[in-house]
Amino acid sequence: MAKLPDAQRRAVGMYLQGMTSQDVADLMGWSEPKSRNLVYRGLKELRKSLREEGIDYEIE
Amino acid sequence: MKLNSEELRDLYRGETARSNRRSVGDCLTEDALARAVAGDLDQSERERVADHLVTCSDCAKEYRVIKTVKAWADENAGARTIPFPVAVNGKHRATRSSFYFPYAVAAASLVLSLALGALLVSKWRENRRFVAEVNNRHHEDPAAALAESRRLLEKESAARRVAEEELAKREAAEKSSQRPKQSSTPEANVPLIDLNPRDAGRGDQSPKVAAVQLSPNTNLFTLILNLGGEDTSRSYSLEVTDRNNRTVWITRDLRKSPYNNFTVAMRRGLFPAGEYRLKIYGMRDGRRALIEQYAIRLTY
Repeated sequence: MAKLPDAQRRAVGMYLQGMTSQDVADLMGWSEPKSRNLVYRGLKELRKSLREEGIDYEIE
Repeated sequence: MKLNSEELRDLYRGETARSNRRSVGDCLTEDALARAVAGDLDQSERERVADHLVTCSDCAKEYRVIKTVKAWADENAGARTIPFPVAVNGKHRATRSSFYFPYAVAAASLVLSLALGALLVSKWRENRRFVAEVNNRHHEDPAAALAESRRLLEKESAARRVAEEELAKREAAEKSSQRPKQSSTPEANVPLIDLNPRDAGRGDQSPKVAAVQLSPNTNLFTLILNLGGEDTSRSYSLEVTDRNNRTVWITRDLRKSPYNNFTVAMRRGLFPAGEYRLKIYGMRDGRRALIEQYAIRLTY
């Protein structure tokens, strides 16, 4: 998570805490598509990192 | 190791739980959370709040709860007018329940208002129904009383008619039962009134009136009509008229006795007290001729 850019890290972190992309967008003052895009990209990066650690994560 | 999205979330929340961290003093205040939910933060504050929410699942959960409650309050209780708690400079951490208090008050007020409104509407309708009922009773009373009195009058008059009819029937029955008795039973002390033509003024237009005094309980009396001389008419008839010359009784079957007179039994019912004229006619050569005339005054 720490390797992710700040925006992606915050978006993915709040998503993993159970917040929706709209919640993230509302809090950060973003648009919902931007929030969703950041979450998607961040999760993709996180998946790579986890796979390197031996953890396979399925992006839904 | 393979994880799906939900498992990854659970793992992350567990790792970032408050209980798994050494220090909890840097958790967000309720004011900060409220302002974050309301969008009343500048960019740096947003980033600070977001950084904390990323690393604290408890604060993230509270943030989601507050956001949900605010959405509900905005939609249902018009809670837009209820101000969110304003951030305080100090880092004191008040209890979460105090933050929910305005929403709880709003919800309770809403429920109370609805209940009170329903109660008032119910009472108002009840009062209207009662007033309408009283008004109807007032308005309908005179008509109902009039109709009731009319009904009673009709009932009373009908009962009176029935009673009168019953009485008339009874009287008629009594009379009919008495008539055969009167006619079938002998009657003693029947007065005999002997009338002579000279007593009544024979030939006069206004003959002398013979007074006939009868006892009050007389029902039947007999008149003996004596002729003044011999008459050879083949048949005789008698006509009785009252004082006004109206015929009261007439008979064409009058027979002369060997004593040159006629007898007539008269009933009090047909001849009440008053003056009467008795005219005897004889048939001679097919023509009727006045033979004798008598005038009497009956008193009982």
